[in-house]
Amino acid sequence: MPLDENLPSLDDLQKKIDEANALKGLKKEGEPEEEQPQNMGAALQVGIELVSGVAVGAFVGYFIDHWLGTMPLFFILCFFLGAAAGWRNLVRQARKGTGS
Amino acid sequence: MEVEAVVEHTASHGAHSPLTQFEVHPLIPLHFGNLDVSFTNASLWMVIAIFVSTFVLFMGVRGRKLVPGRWQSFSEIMVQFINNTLRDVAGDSAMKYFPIIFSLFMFVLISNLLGMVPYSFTTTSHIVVTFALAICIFVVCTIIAIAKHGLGRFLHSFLPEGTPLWMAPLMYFIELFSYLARPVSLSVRLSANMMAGHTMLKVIAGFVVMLGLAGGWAPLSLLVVLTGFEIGIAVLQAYIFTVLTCVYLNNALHLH
Repeated sequence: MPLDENLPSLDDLQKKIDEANALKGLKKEGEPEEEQPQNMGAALQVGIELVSGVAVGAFVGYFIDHWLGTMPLFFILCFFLGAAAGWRNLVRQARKGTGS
Repeated sequence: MEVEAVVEHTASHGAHSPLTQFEVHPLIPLHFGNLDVSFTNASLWMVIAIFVSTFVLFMGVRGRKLVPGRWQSFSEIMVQFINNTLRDVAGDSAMKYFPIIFSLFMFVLISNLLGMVPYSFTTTSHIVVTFALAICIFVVCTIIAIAKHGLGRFLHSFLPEGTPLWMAPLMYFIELFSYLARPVSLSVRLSANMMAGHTMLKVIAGFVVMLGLAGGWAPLSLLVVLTGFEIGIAVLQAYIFTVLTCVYLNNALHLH
């Protein structure tokens, strides 16, 4: 009967669904490889944020010391403040990254 | 043995150093007193970038057809793209700054892409150029914030809400420094990405020459992939630069 012939098509359909799921799963496994450059960019980002914070702190501290003649005081103070600011930017960036 | 000879040859002559592409040399020497304002190859490529972006957009708006052609489509996509980005990031009140944001994006994008043309000069790989752009953005955003909200409110915005009183002086200066670090990280991000990519391309290209006909095919195929990747980075970095400018503009317009 034609109806009996139609019945196995349900199995075919299941097979197709499984195949599609497997394909989806494959794609999911493939994703981390594609994300590699983005991770590299994020790593570079971390370095830039930290270094720019320290650099700005050190520069401002050196400038103030040069101006007031209190050589190591503000340089050291601003160096650490700048490092803290770098961390602050980094944390802000990381929070934004996980949010999106 | 042959490879060593080639390495020694290039090292002694220094002609094929991967960093020669970043050298700035004056084309038309100009001096005002002690100030050296020579027209260099960097200036030349910046002028070319301006001309190319103007030309592309001019070709785009020339036809003004209902069904856009290639030039017009490109211009429309660019305008639409920056329009949406600016509106999403900085809100409707920032739309009056659209021209400067769009010009900035086009300049950085075309400069980055021109850097991918062989024998060209990548202006955005120099921190001087990107820092000049970033410091202008920084100053303008600060002026906008002060003009819109007043100096007192601007200075008060550095203090995060809910800070305990004994932590306030420390937090204030940390926030101030993180604000001052913005133009530095903005400019370093763009120039470091461009410089790293271009240096890497030249180093891999050097491998092709060193390995010759026998083994040069492996790095050559890698070079093709990296070139495509580098074009992607050129576009992405221009976009990131623009988005961050929009973020800073948003912070200036809506102080928290």
